Amino acid sequence: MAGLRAQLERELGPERVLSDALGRMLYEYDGGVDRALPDLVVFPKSREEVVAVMCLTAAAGVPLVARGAGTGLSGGALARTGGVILSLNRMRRVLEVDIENGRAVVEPGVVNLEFSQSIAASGFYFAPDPSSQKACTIGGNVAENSGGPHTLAYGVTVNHVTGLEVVLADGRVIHTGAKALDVPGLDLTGTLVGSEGTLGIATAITLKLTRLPEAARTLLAIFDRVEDAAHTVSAITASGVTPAALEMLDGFSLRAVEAATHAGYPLDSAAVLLIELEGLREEVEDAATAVEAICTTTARSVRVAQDAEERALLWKGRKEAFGAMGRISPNYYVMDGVIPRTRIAEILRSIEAISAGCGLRIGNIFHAGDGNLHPLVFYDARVAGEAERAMRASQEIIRACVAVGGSISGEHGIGMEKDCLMPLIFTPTDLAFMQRLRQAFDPAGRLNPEKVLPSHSCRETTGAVVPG
Amino acid sequence: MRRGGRDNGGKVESGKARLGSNEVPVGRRLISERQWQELERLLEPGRVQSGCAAPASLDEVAAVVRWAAANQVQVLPGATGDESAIGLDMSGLRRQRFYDPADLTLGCDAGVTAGEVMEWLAAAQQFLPLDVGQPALSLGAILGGHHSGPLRHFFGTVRDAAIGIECVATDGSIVHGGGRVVKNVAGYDLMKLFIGSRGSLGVITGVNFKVSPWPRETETVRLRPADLDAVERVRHWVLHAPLRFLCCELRSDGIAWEVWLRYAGSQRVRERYRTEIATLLPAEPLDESVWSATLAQATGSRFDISVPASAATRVLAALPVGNTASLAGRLGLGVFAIQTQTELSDAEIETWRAVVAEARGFLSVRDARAMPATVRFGAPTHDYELMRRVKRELDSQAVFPDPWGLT
Ligand SMILES: Cc1cc2nc3c(=O)[nH]c(=O)nc-3n(C[C@H](O)[C@H](O)[C@H](O)COP(=O)(O)OP(=O)(O)OC[C@H]3O[C@@H](n4cnc5c(N)ncnc54)[C@H](O)[C@@H]3O)c2cc1C
Repeated sequence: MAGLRAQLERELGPERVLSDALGRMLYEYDGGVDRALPDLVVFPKSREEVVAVMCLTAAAGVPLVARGAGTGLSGGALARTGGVILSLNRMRRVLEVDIENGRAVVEPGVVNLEFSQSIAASGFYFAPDPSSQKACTIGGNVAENSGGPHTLAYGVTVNHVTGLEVVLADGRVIHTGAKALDVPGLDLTGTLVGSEGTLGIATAITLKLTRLPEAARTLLAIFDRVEDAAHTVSAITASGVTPAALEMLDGFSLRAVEAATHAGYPLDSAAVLLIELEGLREEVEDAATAVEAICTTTARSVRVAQDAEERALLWKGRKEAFGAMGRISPNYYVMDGVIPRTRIAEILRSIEAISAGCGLRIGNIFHAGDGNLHPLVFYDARVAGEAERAMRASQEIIRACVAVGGSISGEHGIGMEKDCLMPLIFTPTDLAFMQRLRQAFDPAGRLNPEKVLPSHSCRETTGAVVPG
Repeated sequence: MRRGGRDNGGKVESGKARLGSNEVPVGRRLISERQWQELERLLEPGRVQSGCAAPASLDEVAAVVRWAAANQVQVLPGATGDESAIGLDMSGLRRQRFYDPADLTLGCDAGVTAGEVMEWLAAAQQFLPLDVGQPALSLGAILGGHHSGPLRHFFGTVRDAAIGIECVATDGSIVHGGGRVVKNVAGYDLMKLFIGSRGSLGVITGVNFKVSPWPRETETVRLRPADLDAVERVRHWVLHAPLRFLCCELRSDGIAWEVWLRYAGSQRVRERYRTEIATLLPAEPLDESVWSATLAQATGSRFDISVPASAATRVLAALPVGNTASLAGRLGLGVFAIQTQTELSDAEIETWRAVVAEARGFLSVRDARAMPATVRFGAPTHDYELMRRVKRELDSQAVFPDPWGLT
């Protein structure tokens, strides 16, 4: 590693190669619960420097792990097997904004919200809006195929990326896709998005821009019973109205959020739905009438935000919800699972039973409109055995999601958190096929090793079949 | 007589067209009588005919692929075969696997046709953007070719709607990607990998979709821009207007240009659309049935062009419009299908390609003539090397076609 370090320092300068123990510790974790210490952290500023790092680490046979802002929740940006972390947050130039084609080209370290704000005057924005959008990078969004509250109507990251510049494991630079939509050949752009940094490093990203809506209206539907909120989600989905966002907070979570953000969520309710409608003025009014009509039969009341300030406040509660949880519990574990939207009431009952069984509180704050749950399991790591109980409860929740036809991740990715759970939804043949795909991109398996597909450690922990 | 040439009602492409040659490809042998007999034994009686196998189940598809791999025979999903390649007629796989209207999800076999899906969904006032102009086209063909229609303007394509996929891979194994839920990032996105892969990586046997509610009231108007400059003004206006059109189609018969705009909403929403459109150009109402008309076929060449949308009119101005029999495309997206009256020479195609390439776009030829992949799809760009690696890794038995001449 000393030789590699010297080579990297020659290439980037010593100030952009981090090797001291204290500095590296900052890169030992991301937003999730796993830990892994890298041997080195490097900070390239250009594609050429990424290529140089790629070639040097390839020659040394050392793993390379890309990192954006490190807000990921599945340990994706951790150097699980050691090696070099390639921190891309110094590549943050917006290379081109081409409004006439509804496209922009950005470097991977550009921060999601900063980018949308920077082009707001044009009337366009980048639609995927993870709740972490103030901090997370577009490179991270691409790698995780991130979603957000508004992806219910607009789709996830892959629906908003039309091209990539990628540095492959052998140092070759390739371009996939374009500003134009139908590029002959295999859809490598679509294959790379969501590949969690295991197939290549994105150094430039061509984004599809979305027109800002003329009007938006935010409604807060307040419920006395969680089941009523769940049934309202199904009723809205089935009614033909597609809200831009349809988010749910259960009673326990909304009280915690209210205490921290004063968003105006009623403390005595069992659940709230935050419903956003966007579009033409007239369209939004029609949709609001339809949604209010559905809610009158199920909700205690519906509050409509009267102005932009009240709208922002209602959203503040949702966007800062995870942060607010820190006030009520020393530790919490955010799960990410998906279920058919018709099974919300049922899964919430299962989660309640799991909570009772393990003796830990579980809150629910989630993207109800697309059935993407985020149960928060609260625990105190200082109490012996609680962390393990929290992990077990979380896995039980994931199994419950799978049992009703769901998936083990809607947006946080597999990373090193759930690689051993992949056999819950994929057969050994599926996993072997995915492994072959990975080999086509990275034959030596050097990019973000032991992520996404079950690693050898899974054999011991779960008996999972390991592909390849 | 089991050799190629079966007429399958226009549902399948000719195997020779896909192979791009009349020769038996290098490394391939003629299928022997013994091999044909072996294949016949794998399927129900009568399901092997004229260079084509028509499996009735997933297991039969897998059996055909395994047979092909063992005998070094090429499998052409959704196409007719010939002396050295076996076509796969997927119309025997036609089940609806599940449909949950309240969750807006649907799963079906790949042999189900676009028309059947639209019918199932219409009963619950739902739909998928399968308006490719040929209701008899199977889902496998639509996915494999990444076909799309006018609704792409707002709703995207099957690429945006597919949430799960099932395929038979090169060794006859059955592979799944995605699942049944509308949001899912577990594992590599095999939907994206297989959609548009033209059968080159495996046989698509099943697909799950998220479907959309279909608006109760829709309306269409026709604008008649005088020339391509006026067409560009319409495109620019549509891009910047707050209105959200379902379709924004450019149509031409080679003489005049028309733009068809489709929108949805209540009476007052539609009134707003009408008012706004009137500020641009006079608009005449069109009957909604115009959208279900099947595309006219002509005798010439068919091209697909995809360019950055703002370059569309510049590119179209440079094309030899005199020879255009019909043009239909998504004006807002820069995606067009052009049918010429007479077949073009390779030199003429090259001229077109140069114009499109200059605008950073792509042109591919869809007609049935034998021509090298580089002519049909354009010169390889540098990610072809990676595509080649993907193809070699995933089709290690070299069972499936190679439409882009990768290997
Ligand atoms: C409070 C909070 C709320 C969140 N809300 C959401 C939400 O609503 N929706 C959602 O989807 N996620 C959410 N997340 C998760 C996370 O923010 C997203 O996954 C985000 O996209 C990660 O971006 P990042 O820049 O932090 O990436 P990192 O965490 O640094 O990296 C994530 C993965 O991307 C890879 N990577 C990063 N850059 C590149 C690159 N250029 N090329 C190749 N691979 C790369 C890394 O190797 C890693 O595997 C939330 C997280 C937090 C902490």
